[in-house]
Amino acid sequence: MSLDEYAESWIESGSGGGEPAAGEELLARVRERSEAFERRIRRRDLRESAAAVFVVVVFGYETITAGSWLSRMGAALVMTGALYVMWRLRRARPDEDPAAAGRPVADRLRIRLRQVEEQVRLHETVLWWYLAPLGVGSVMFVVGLGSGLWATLTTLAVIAVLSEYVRRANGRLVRSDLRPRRERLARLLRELEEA
Amino acid sequence: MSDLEDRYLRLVAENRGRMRRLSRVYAGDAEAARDLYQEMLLQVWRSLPSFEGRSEPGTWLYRVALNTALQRRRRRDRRRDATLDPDDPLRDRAFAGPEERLEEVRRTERLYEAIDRLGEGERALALLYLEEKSYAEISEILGITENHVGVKLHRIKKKLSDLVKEDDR
Repeated sequence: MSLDEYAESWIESGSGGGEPAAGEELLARVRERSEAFERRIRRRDLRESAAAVFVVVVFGYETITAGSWLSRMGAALVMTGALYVMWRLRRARPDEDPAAAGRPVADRLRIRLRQVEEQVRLHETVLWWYLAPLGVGSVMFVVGLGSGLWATLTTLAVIAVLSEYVRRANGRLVRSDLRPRRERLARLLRELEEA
Repeated sequence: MSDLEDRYLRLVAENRGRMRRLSRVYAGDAEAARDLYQEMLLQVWRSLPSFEGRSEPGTWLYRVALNTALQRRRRRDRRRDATLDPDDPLRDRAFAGPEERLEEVRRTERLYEAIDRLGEGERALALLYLEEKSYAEISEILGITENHVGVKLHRIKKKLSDLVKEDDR
């Protein structure tokens, strides 16, 4: 039997069968899901903005009023570091523009591949752009307060443990999720583009 | 009903079969296929206001549906009793009666299984061929040249044909 004969049955499959919802009911469902999706995005953006405002208010205040120049510099470093982290995370976020879904498949794959590569880079270098400025800034802030050796050592220990935990978690995410995703996208693109 | 809603319902009604077949191919099991189909409906709804009419509505919808399908990761275990699912594209015909219809359903099942053994990108081309899309339309949906479509399709048809024959034996 030839492929064309098989193909004849293909179009027929899926032409029958009941639609779970149609007309007004389908519209109501799809509108509801769309609104829920938009609400989720708005809530996330609101949370991020609130975190940015919190960081600016608290560490901005300390930047101006802290007792020593070391604490003031530490607070400024934490504040700018946190804002930089937020900016980089937002920039690396997958494209949420609804129009993007209507682009040709190869274009969309290329864009998504670039985004995943950027995410891999971000996660692999998390120590430098995320942990280092916040960690160094926090230590400077605490040392500048003149809280004594034990307070400084405790801060250092907490920051070291937290940093290692974050670094490992990021490494796991890259290995288990991002690299496989990158390879899948690259393979897909190759399958489409290679003659 | 607004013009947008009206256009949406018309588009979905005209392309329902295509989206369901696409969902079935790209999802790992019947439940995932249902979720994927719902996801496609949502994406089409969200993207429709930005559709500028530069391509045929059916071509545009297929792009949205295929992009949505390729964005999701496939579940590993494929359920074999997919036709028992009420939303499975083959289900109604599987229970339709006469022996010929059953044979047709088996044939389509074999085709689905053969498609399942292709790579993800090849699967997209195979589907577009089976949906009787022209080279120009395939090129527009996938974003590759018509020449390229021709070369690749020739190879994929041969591969698919071999896989189907293999299953026949």
